[in-house]
Amino acid sequence: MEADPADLIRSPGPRPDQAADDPPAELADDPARYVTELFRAHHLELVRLAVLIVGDLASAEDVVQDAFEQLHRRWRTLRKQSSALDYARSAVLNGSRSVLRRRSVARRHEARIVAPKLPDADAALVFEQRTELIEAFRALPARQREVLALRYYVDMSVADAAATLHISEGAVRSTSSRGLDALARILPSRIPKEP
Amino acid sequence: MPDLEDLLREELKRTARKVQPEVLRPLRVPAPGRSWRPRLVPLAAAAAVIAIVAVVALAVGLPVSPKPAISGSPSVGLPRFYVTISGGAHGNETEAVIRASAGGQVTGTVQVPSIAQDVAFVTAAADDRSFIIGAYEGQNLTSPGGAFDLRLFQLRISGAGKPGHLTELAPAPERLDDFQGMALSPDGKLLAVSLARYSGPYTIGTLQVINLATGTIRTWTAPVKGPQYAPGAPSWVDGSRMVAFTWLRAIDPLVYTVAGVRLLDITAPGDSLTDAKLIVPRGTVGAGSIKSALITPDGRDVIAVTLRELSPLASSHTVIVQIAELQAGTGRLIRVLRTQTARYDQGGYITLQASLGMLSLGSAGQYVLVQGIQFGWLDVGGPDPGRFTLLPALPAGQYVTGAAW
Repeated sequence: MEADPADLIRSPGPRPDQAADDPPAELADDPARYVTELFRAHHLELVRLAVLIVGDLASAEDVVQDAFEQLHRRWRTLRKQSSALDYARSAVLNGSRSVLRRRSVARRHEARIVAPKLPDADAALVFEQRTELIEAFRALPARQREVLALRYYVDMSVADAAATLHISEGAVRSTSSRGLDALARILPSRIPKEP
Repeated sequence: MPDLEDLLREELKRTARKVQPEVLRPLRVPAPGRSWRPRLVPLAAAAAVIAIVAVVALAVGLPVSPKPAISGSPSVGLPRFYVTISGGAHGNETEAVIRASAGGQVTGTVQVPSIAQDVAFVTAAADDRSFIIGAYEGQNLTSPGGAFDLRLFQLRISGAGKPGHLTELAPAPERLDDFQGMALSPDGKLLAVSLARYSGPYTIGTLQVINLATGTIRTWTAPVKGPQYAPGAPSWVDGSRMVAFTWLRAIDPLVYTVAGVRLLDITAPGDSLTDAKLIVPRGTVGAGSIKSALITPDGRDVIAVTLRELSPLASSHTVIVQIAELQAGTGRLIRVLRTQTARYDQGGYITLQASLGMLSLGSAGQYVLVQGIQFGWLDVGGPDPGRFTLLPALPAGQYVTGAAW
């Protein structure tokens, strides 16, 4: 499997006390510029993360744009207990969750039986050629999807995933385990038997 | 499960990699924000206007008059008119349609300024002439982030069912993320609204009671820690003193299961929805599980619609939908009023699940508007319990999500 540059932007690494994602000195006094640089640098990775949760590109781009604007506005008021990239990822996951909720609202109130519409042609890009495993992943509850995406797409440690999702490490472990169990149940034929 | 973990890692990355940099829309850098100070003056002015409108225009509340006599009505005590929400003739608007209950003929329509086509909510006063309509305003429902507002309008109709203009009411529920339903008290003065707000991963279930005469709003919320709950569609008991609602357990974003029915005394102190007494426990009722419920005005019975799927693993879904009468306080099944079985494909099943609802109970508690497998009214406390009458609302194959009488 060839390496993709965006795949290399993964776990936030050291925790904030080690200041890995704290603003460089030259940007420390210009938080708006720093957030802009951060999002530009991680734009692709964040959109890809959102795509895994919401399932289509247009919504994923909206989510990231929204998160960017949110952090741009609120940067000064955010507590620096986590890294900037953690904040960005949290904002993207919250936004993705919001998209799923809103879709559910729309679906729940929809008075007509209509075929689901894709937002635009780009969205089809993500939907086409989905594997059975990705279909099963998409059917998981949102929280399990988030945990599995952070653990296996972003390659975050349990501690980092817990910090990003604002839940306990135990919750990350149990949610991850439940998600994997569910995938194994859905896809028994796809999982190679252990010797 | 190392093999599955490896496989998942590989598949997630392969899927994510389909998004390439060249297809991304560039990030838009937000414009610098303005100071909030200059906005205070217009805000204060707007607040003053709202306050004046609230006090002056609504001081009288909603008029309550005796129910008109119904000559030639097929069932004594049947509300004369019902209102449904649907898409307009041009397909891009929302309409409230007034129909005569006796024959279903349209007596009038009125445009509803909702941002979401076909989506608005309606509740009726006991006078058979006044309705409150809630319409979404704010961001599009499918857009990410941000909440929306519910604008409230009063609709009055004439004795012949002809609608007047919508009059916007000044008091409104707080900004919300999800709306479950609303109910006007029998005296027309209080509006109970069930809603939810989201804060990060948390669902904050909220019930608000809005005094339409004074504009004051009282709020109860569900605990955020631990399992999260939200109130379902409300209904009034004992005049304007108590509100019953289904107790919805939030499983996932907007995926709820009904964990019983609760009854809240709105005259008691406190602001927690857990103060509400559990009057129907969770569990199976008749053939299925509760999807929606309303309490009768005397507080003795709960009328619930239940669903059971007989073939959960099949590609088509055979379902049993029942409407049952339960004893409030114990949840004991008193009788099943109606049972229907039907088969759906996946799309139809999802829509059915989303649409099932006890929509509106007439003020006398005798007849309920219900969206089961079909839309119509059901005798639940009148002379012929279990009698179901189909009502026209939307074209065949569509479901009514908002209706009241």
